[in-house]
Amino acid sequence: MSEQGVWTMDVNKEVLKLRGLAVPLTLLAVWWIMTNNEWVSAVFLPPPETVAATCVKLFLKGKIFVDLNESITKVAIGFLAGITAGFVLGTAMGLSSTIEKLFGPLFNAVRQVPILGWIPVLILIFGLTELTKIIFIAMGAFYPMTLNTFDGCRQLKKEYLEVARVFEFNRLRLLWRFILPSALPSILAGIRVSMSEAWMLVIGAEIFFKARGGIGDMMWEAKTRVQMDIVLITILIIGVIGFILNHAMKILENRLLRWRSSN
Amino acid sequence: MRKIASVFLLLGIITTLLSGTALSSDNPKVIRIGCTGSNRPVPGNTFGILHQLHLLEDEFKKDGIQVEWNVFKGAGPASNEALANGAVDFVTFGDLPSIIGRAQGKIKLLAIHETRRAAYTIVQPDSKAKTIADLKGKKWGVSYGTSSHLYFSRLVDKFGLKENQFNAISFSGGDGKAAFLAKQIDALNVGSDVTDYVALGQGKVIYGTDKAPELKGTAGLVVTEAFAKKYPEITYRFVKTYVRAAKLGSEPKNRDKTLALWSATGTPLSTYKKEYENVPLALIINPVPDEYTISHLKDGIKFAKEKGIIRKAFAFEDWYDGSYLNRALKELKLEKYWPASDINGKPTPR
Amino acid sequence: MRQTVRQKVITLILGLVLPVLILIAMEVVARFELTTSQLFVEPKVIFETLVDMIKGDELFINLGISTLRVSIGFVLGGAAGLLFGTVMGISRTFESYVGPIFNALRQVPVLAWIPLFILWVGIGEGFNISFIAVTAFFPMALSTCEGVKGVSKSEMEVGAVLEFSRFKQLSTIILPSTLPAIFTGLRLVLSITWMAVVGAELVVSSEGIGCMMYRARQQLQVDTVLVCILAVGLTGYTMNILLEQTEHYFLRWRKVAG
Repeated sequence: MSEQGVWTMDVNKEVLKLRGLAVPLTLLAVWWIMTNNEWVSAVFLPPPETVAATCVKLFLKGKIFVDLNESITKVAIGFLAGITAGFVLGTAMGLSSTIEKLFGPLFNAVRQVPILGWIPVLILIFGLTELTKIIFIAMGAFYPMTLNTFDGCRQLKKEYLEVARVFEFNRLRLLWRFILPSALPSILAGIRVSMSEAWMLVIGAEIFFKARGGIGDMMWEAKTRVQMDIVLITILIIGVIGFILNHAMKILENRLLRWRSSN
Repeated sequence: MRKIASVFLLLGIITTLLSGTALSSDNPKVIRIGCTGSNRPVPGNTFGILHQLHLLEDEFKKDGIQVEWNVFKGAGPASNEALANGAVDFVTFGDLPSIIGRAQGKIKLLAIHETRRAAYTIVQPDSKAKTIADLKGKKWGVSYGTSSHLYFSRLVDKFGLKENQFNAISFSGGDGKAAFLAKQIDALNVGSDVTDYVALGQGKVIYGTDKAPELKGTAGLVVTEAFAKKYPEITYRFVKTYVRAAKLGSEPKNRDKTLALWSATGTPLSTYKKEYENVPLALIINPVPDEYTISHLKDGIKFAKEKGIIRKAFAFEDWYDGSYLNRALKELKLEKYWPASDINGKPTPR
Repeated sequence: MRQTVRQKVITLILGLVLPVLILIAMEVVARFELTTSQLFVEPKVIFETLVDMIKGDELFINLGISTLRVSIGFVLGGAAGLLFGTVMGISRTFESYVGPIFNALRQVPVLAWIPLFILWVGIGEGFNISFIAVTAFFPMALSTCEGVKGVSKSEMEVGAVLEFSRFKQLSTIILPSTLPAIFTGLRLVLSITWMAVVGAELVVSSEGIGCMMYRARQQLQVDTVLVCILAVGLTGYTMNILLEQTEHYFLRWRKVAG
């Protein structure tokens, strides 16, 4: 019997949690067995104990926090710049069909190119500076934000314009009181996607710009020196931070949406 | 309001594009230098001497000019990018990057930095390949845009083969070494650090510049035209200090000290000793272009154009500006100090 | 709302304003050397390079190789994701076992997988294809799973009342309802796999459009880099359109049948 779409209450949360751990624990066991019996070379896959030990060492040494700080700073600045620009363009495009026709085609055309492709151009023209990296990250955050904001604003234009015309609201009031709150879900979704994109691009920037510093660079150096344990640890950290950022955005989203509906 | 927003947006885009480039405008209060460090962020040859003895800092201290050293992980190509962006003023790098740099932009060659740079092709220790032809279809790591790339191209050409007969994989910085050590590629081009690989049993040499001396590389010192035009006196004093450092390194009595200084780059002292056995250092870091180096560079230009690495060829005479070097040599009375070599690398009688 | 011809023309002109302005700006900056960067090329040069590269076969060969890699990875990863996502959406049990670790792995940004894959798979086509397939897998599985779960209860009840076999349920009820979500997933996967292939080729490769871009950068050839970007963009755009056409075809059929 398949149980799709129906929440069967007799499977309680405890059992679910245990089930969720089953696969990871099995993998861990397999990992331990494989490395301790040397079925696989330690260079390829170090034993779990080694990885854990290295992890502890890294955190005690403290340098990892410096790297994390660098990466997170870059993400923060690029992200904020990107979503601001994205918000401005998205709203403008959503509200005015003239602007949409003006910027739309170019926007869609550039969107087809994977952001990574712009790296060589950015470097050749702007140089290998911190600013270039931030521009790169901002570009990545810019796109989802614009798209989502645009989507959100576009849907409501007609209905609310009618209302506004009836009540003779001026444009600014219209924007603040009606359009933005209605577009909020889309805008917040856009912020969330932009965040994941920005975090990924920080790692990308650190790998491809080949300058020193940051957690992505740490991972790449470890790969260059074939230090598998550090590679695994950095991947874990990158994933965890990505998760935290995503989760934080989700919480923010829920809070703001709740506030909105109570308004 | 919409119209205002769109105008601002346009302005924003344009100013961002322009400001990004303006950010790297040069500043007379700082002389920015770029170079390559292999293992450690410390340059070698004459630049190494300048760097470690702080000669430039001392020279310009009285004018309150600072000296900024940038050591690039990405070697030649990274130096080129920095030059092209106006982020550095003086750079030393290998033949191919400097040729590429000149083909694309306005830089001037001031002096030679290193001659007779060795290169070797190594394969995995258990490889059955004995000649270059045996490597056909195999994975060969090449750092595009570097001096090593020129060596690779010429090597392939020498044997009458074509580059696309090999599975040439692009690498930059230390990635090639990493891939080779992890046994992910079959062959790699290396420099004098070849002894590291061989000593540790990690690689086998199948060809090198010891068998083909004409493939040895040359490195040069360049400056951006903008800087030289704006600050000719500073450029001159830079070159003069450079020549002084080269003299220090060339003195036979300083040989041990110089080699020890160079080992700070991370390449062990023993490697340098072996590489330059019976070779006077004056020959290596001779800053004066002679028939040997000039012909080598001219060949390089022609070759790069043929292979499509550069789009436009250029004349060596347009590139090399010897006024600063000659003036420095005259002032320091070193015009006859360095031995000139003929087209085959043999010293010409003075 | 049908646009009159006049409106259509205005739309077209408006759309071209920005690109033309940018071209002009580039020309001005390059001609008058307004920036310290020596690499600001004039549009004319870019165009010439484009023509040269089209005439030679370099561009198409490399583009073809990259497109091939994307397609293979896309198909492999997409199929696996489709399968995985369907099972996850249908079976609560399966989801409870596999869900957490799936979500955990999903958090890792695509690019962070590169070092791992290089170390494990080595350099070569194996790396390229497996990496692209993995990047395709996760979004596809997620979209499919959400689509399957979104099948409404009422539709399922119809199947239960009519006593459909599980297979029949799958093919006549679940799959058609999930199609929109699947296509959304496909579109997402398309852009992600293109990013993956460019990323993989920028890191290490011997041919492909990303590789071409990388070598051009090492040799300071901005025009080549720009042409490559143009090529990638156009190819991605074309593939996107093909996908949209396929989507319209399938969904139209569904509307008629449903």
